[in-house]
Amino acid sequence: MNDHELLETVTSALAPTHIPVAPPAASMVALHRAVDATTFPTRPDRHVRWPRLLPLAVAAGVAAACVGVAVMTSSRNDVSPELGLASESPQLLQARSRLVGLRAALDAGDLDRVAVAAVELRRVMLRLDSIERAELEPAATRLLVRAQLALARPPSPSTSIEATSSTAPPSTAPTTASPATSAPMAGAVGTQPPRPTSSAMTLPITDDGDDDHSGPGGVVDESLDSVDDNGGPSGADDDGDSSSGSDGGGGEIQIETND
Amino acid sequence: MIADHHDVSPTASAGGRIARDTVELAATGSHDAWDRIFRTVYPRLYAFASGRVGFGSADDVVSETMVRAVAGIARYRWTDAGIEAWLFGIARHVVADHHRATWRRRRWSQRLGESAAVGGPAELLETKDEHRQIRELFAQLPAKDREVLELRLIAGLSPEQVAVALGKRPGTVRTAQSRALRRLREGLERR
Repeated sequence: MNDHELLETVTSALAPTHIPVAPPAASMVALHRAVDATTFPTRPDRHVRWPRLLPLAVAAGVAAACVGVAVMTSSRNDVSPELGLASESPQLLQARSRLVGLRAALDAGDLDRVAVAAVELRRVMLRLDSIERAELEPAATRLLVRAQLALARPPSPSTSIEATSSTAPPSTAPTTASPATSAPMAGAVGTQPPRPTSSAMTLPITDDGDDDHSGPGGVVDESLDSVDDNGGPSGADDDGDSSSGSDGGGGEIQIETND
Repeated sequence: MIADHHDVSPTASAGGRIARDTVELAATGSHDAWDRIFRTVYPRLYAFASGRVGFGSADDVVSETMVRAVAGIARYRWTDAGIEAWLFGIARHVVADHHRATWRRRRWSQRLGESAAVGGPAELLETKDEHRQIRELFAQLPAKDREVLELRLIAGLSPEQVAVALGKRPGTVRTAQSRALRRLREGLERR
């Protein structure tokens, strides 16, 4: 007996000899009652969906055509900013990366990393041209102020930098970094001698509503020194903005609700 | 009840496939679509159910399967296996519920004479000794292998559809089928 014969034999042995073709009337009645009793979701018809999407498709086509024409008739560098395309220099990218690194170090409360990252950020900011620098200055300035405030204080293991900087009274914030507190920053890098923060870098601040800071900065065209001289409030405000805009929001309790 | 219907010889592929459009119509509550689905799949569902619970309860199992399908059609998503595999998956649960209810009823009422007809259509006439032997050998197979053979040979599902109905992979289904047939062959050769 080959496989085919075996299958035939088994099938005929197992299958019932008589199977009704149509379901009994009682079953049909039960089925239709069940259909009547069930609330069915209304599903959008595939044929109806296309006309609704047609305007979107036309708009997308027109937009694509406009972009194509603009690219063909203008140089890439001219068109890219208008289209929102990326046309950033390596220095700008590097500066962004340093900015993120400094913010992460501040959020983590790692003062050694803060010191190193602050120096690196200052250094890479100096390499930017004026347009690129103006773009990053608001965020960079705020972070550098936070870094300076953080490094000026003795580290507290139980509280984060943001918590101490935002809750500390203005009078406790140092107006200038002392050599003792600025020494670790320079010492960590090992390439620059200790220097007062007032000569570290002058960054005009123009708050453009950067994505990591909510609301207008309120501090315009001030150097780091002037920010510090203004005292804690400006720094504290900046810290508050930064902390409110930071991802994850340290200390926030997120409650998840299941559907 | 059976005498009211037209009897036909069992064929594994009876009924054909149910089109996707019909299923989509059924999902909107179309009586005609549900009618079509029921009539198309009924012979195979009945054959499967009668093999599991006997002729006396097969219609109840099939009817309950369809009622549950109506209630759950919103959760169904069309796949290449078609709606048949989904329906047989429901039928398996209905059969399991039927067995549980039967067992409970027997336990409490102590009516040992009630017919269960589990494991094969015992009401069939033994026209061939070979068929009787096959059914005896079939009853000795592991339950999982028996179920695979029933869905493949009696319900006429493809390995992919059986896989959907059982929640397994098609390769596992093919392996189980091959193993079950080999055991049946060896048992027949020994006799």
